[in-house]
Amino acid sequence: MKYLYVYPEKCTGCRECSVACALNKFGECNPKKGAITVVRDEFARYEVPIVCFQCEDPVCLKFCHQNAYTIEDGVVIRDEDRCISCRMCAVLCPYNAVTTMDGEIIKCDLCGGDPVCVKYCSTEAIQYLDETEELEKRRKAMAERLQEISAQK
Amino acid sequence: MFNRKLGIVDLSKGKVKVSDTPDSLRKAFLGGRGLNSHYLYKMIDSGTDPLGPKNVLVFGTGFLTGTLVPNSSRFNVSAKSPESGILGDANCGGYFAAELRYAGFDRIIVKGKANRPSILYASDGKIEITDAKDYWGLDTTDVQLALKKDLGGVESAVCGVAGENKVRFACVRTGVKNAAGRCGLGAVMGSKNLKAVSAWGKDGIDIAHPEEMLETCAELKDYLMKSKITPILGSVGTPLLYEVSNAFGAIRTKNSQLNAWSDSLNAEEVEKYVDKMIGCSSCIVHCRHRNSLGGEGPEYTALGLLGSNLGIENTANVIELNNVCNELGLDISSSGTYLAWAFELYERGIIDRKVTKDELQFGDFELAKKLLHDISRRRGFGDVLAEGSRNVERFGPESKDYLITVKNLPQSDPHDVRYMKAFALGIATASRGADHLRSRPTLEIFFKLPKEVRERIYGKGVTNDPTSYEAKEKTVFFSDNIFAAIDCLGVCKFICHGFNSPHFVDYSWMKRLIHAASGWNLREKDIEEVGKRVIDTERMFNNREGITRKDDTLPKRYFDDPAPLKIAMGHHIDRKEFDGMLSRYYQLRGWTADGQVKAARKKELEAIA
Amino acid sequence: MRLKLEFTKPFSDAVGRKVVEMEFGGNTCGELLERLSGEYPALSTKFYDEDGSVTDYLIIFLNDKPISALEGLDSEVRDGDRLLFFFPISGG
Repeated sequence: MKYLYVYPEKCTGCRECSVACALNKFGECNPKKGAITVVRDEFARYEVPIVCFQCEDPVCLKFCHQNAYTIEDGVVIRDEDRCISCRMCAVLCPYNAVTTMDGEIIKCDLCGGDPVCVKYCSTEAIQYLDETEELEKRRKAMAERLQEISAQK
Repeated sequence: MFNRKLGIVDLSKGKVKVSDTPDSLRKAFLGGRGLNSHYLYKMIDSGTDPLGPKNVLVFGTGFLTGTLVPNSSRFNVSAKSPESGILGDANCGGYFAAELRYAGFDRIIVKGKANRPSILYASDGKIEITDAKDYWGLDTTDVQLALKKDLGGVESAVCGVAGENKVRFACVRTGVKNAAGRCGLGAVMGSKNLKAVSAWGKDGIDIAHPEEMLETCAELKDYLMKSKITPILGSVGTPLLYEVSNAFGAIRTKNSQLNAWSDSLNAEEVEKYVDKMIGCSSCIVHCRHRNSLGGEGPEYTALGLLGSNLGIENTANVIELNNVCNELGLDISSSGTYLAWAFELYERGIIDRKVTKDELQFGDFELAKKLLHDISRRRGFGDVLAEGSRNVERFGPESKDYLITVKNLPQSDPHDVRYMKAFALGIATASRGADHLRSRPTLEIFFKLPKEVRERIYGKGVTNDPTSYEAKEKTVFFSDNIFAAIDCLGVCKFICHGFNSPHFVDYSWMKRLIHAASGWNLREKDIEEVGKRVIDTERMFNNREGITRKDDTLPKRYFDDPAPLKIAMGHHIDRKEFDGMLSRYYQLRGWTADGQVKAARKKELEAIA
Repeated sequence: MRLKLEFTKPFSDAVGRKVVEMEFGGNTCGELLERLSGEYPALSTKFYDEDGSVTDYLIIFLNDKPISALEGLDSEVRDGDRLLFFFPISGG
């Protein structure tokens, strides 16, 4: 199974990934509508791409009262027909990886196995790789760290 | 919508008007620098005081700004320049321009003067004028942080203390170091009591052909990334140039008394202070250095003009001066040129302590730092220096011989032009004064450039010898035009054909990108015509302010003092040869022998509305 | 013949020094490139593209002229010549 892995130390903050995602999904150039978001602050000196972890036990799926979410081949998929855009998933996602904009729910679906964002990254700060134990360990550590931070807030 | 709005703000009346830009204007100038220059020509009367309420200040994004197009981060700030008294214009990257488009605007035109410190806040297709009293007096980082906190995640273009105090070479800044640096546009903000323009927006730019843009941009990205230039710019950045210029004898040193300096400012020394390379919005090059001394940079310009030109060797010192200029909102090119000028005048006894108060000398870092602060706050001798080139009147006519300016604008980059004749013609004729970003024709030294490619790019008869004057007007003509076109598109020159490379984004790429974004079918020739229109419009603005052939010249030193060191040793610009090159350039442009845009062309361009 | 070569970044990184003085038995700049690539393998990827042709992104000055103004890679080198190798880059 392949997943998206992010490397903040390589990210330059340019947002080509987000713009490409929004252009692919919505036909518009808009980094705020990308399912991958670069959280950046040049004054605080960081750039971090945030994208859905495709959790094994996802909060979005668990609490969706429309049962719009399913896991298909390891990817957490939202069924647009079932979804009523209540935004519960976006509120509950501990990683802020599900977002909303103008009534749209925005969540990464790995573009059906060919994620567009990766093609526009000039530094390999996002990579689409076969899952390995080591990569998963790194990703889990990152997720835990993000949860710690959101718990502090 | 692909098109965004035009906001016209009258600060004197406190009124905002939002309208559309006619398609006829967009077809003629696309956007960015071109449309800005058109508005300046139409809206500013000749003789207008650049620091008075009648000056017009334009913030204009490019046609492709904020899209997926690589390096489409840019906007131009334009007004009549308080530094040079002619066309003032500066191009800038960062994240502000894209955000302004997401906020619903292509361009904001600011007229009048607010009766108290103000900011403009653009969001959701509206512009508010709000009070800036809590922000006045803040350095450029502090004010941006305060605006982010108070307005919520905005991107801002601001002036620093130098702009508030109307220092004639104050810049407009966004982010940690991106600057619309040249021509004193920060002082125009200050003169209008305008501390900042902030923007936040969530309105995406609708693309005519999304798939075509995705495909074209992927292809362009691969093409650019395969080049050997892109990874070097992205890992070392412009400091690489310092070593090259220095090895060559083309680095402005001690006010161009010398042309080579210390290895201590080479890229490998700078790298020791670099924490990370970062990019502007949509940038795939990422040439910005996040330095370990709390700022960003230095670029080649800072290494030269705040280093070798001031006789300073210590790398950390130069980076610190760079960071100080950025915080105060001072243009680095002008600051380094005026300081070096004053140091030499003092050494020569043309000015003395009656004027300068302190003893001035090259190599004195603490002095340079103090003077930068004094300039920004107009204290003591700093208040004198803040007037820039105008000090020729105060210091006496002899002082002009040592001033490295064209049309009262200090030369932008640290390149000593005595060896490369085309480069010299470029800075002599650039529409905003001595400037390398208008033409910088340097492809002649590419030995792999086959004759037919060279002729296709530049035209017939251009020799490969940088020291020859033969047909060099063609290289400037070509470069002026294509760089004007890319400035209209809002795309960085680093990926423009003819700047770093005989490859990269040429008119055929521009045509494809414009089509994908807007659906417009322009021919390559149409885009080239946009560039020519921009150059002529800017010349018309300058002609109206009295600019003629006499002003298209070089600092005396480049003519009369042969370069003293290294490969460039002995080279200088020959006045007669230069004159011939200039005449031929005017012929190519279709200007009169005195450098005026001809009446018929003027009528044609004035009719565009 | 004896030549004095000066390299700037990134060529100096590949050579490990900025200045090299060397004995050279060949005649032209092209031959010199081949000799240098043999001596400093890291240089060869800097000098040549994947298809084996010399890269566009290399400027060589032979004394006070770029070889573009002379005979290109066929430019003849002579005893005592000084060559400067640099990467063409613009900006400010």
